[in-house]
Amino acid sequence: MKKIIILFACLLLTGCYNYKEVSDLAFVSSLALDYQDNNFNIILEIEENQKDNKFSSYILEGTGKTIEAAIQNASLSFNKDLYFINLNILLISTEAANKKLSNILDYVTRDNNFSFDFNIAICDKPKEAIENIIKQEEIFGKYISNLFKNTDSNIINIKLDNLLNNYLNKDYDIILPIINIKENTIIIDKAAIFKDNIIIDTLNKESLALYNILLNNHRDYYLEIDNNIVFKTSYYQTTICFKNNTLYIIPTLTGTFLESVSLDENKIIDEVNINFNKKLESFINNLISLQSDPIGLKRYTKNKKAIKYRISTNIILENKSLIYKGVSS
Amino acid sequence: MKNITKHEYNSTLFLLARPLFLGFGIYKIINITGSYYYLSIILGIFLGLILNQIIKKLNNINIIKIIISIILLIYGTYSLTNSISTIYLNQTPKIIILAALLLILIYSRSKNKENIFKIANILFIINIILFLITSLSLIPLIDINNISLTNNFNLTNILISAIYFSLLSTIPYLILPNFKENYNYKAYLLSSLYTLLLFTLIIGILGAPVASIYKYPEYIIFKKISILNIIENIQNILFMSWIFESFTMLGIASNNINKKILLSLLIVIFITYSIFITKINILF
Repeated sequence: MKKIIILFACLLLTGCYNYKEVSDLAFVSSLALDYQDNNFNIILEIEENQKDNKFSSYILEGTGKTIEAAIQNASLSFNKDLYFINLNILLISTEAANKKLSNILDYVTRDNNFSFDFNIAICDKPKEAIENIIKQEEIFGKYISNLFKNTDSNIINIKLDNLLNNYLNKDYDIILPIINIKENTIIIDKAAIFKDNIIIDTLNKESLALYNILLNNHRDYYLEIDNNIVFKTSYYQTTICFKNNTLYIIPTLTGTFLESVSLDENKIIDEVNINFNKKLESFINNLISLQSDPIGLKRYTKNKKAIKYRISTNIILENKSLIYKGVSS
Repeated sequence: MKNITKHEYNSTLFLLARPLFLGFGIYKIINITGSYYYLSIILGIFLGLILNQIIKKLNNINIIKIIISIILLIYGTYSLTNSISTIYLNQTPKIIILAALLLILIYSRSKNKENIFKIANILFIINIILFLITSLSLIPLIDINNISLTNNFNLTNILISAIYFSLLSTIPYLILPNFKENYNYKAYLLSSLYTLLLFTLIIGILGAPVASIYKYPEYIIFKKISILNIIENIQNILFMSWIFESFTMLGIASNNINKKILLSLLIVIFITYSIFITKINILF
């Protein structure tokens, strides 16, 4: 009896059944989806295994009524199994985001063959963007992933779990970064905001900075005010609370002045405070007029309508510079 | 039974409090309570400690032990086959996975209970190492906003979920030999706190809405682990702790049943699953 069991175990449990070599797998680094004329158009960027450690990739394109059909069509003449476990970026066109976001999210969530840690962005010219980076002998998916990870500028970094959370949570509206191409360079300085899962507007770089401050996504923040004065934050923390039908938004910005001329420090702090409050107020008013809530303020207001809000900013100055007095003083 | 040391018994107590949460248990508690999971789990732990005192008295009744062993065997093989099929061997027919599992059970039945306890002791150490890796790499990924309370507080749901937790964490103790003499509440408490931390990681990283759509959210959070940007995609290794726990439960359950009855039962399970497996696939 034992021998039979061992024989069965050897045949079934040693990994020989249905095995696949790594060289038989095609690792997809980027997946771009567009939806036109009731068809999905997809672009896959496949990483190539090269012995001389050079980064290279190539693209496959396909069209189909469903995402699966499009992927199958893209890999018709392809002799490898597509493997999405190393997926770095999912690019969705505006049209696909407006019409088929639920299908796309369902597809990438359901299958265990997919990574869970990839970035998602809106891009209407994915082929151009991917080819641009491939020409520079880099893999687009990895390039964009590093860009999101390493940059200090005010971009928003949305991964699958963030998007799913916003999509499934009634207290949030979706926000996704937009990838643009300017003079053969990839630029991510805008974001699309959604209302009821439809893109209704875009946020510019300045609005994205305020969005990051409200959500405590620590990025560099610069505030330029008159007289060439720049206030640069090293740290910020925003507290939001809801009391007596009023939403209190209390950002505390800790930072230092750059390029400042000889002015009374307290005066500048007041000026920074007024300027920042104005910007934040206009940003929130804009969101209210659009009826979109990517920040999730509904979590605090418990969906009450016609609420008041009050902004109270604290500016904390710290001196980490190498000089005591301004050079111009 | 004299050969089983206290440490081996405690390791088994630790492992047995968790296998019933695999898939269905976690899914159910998150779905019912959302971000109030911790209230139901803390309440569930207290209920569990009380239930363990009742189990101490029931444990000597042989017929209960055999019935619970059969139930756990049927449920355990089904849930383990499904999880292995979903997570590891997506393209392998479920019936092959089940066959391999049943063969392991037959083999473990041919050994004494002492061997299962000794294996449990080793698996406990492996589990603790996997747990430390998981916790240390996942705690920084917790988003406080996900844990913050929402406005869907419902006391009935929390109580129902607490009862679920207490039952799922204590029922496997019914199959343990000499439970009355060897029960150690510290092992149960440690295991339950481990489960509480796991729930906190799941809700803290994914958020209740996302966690509630996944069959195995405990596996999904492992996908996010990246140690120094070098070690990634280790979810399959970390998830093995659930298989170890289920194996310990199935090994002890199969040892409580007479060899001939066990063989007939496993054949029935195999035939039933092979006929109905496509129909019951969608359950969980």
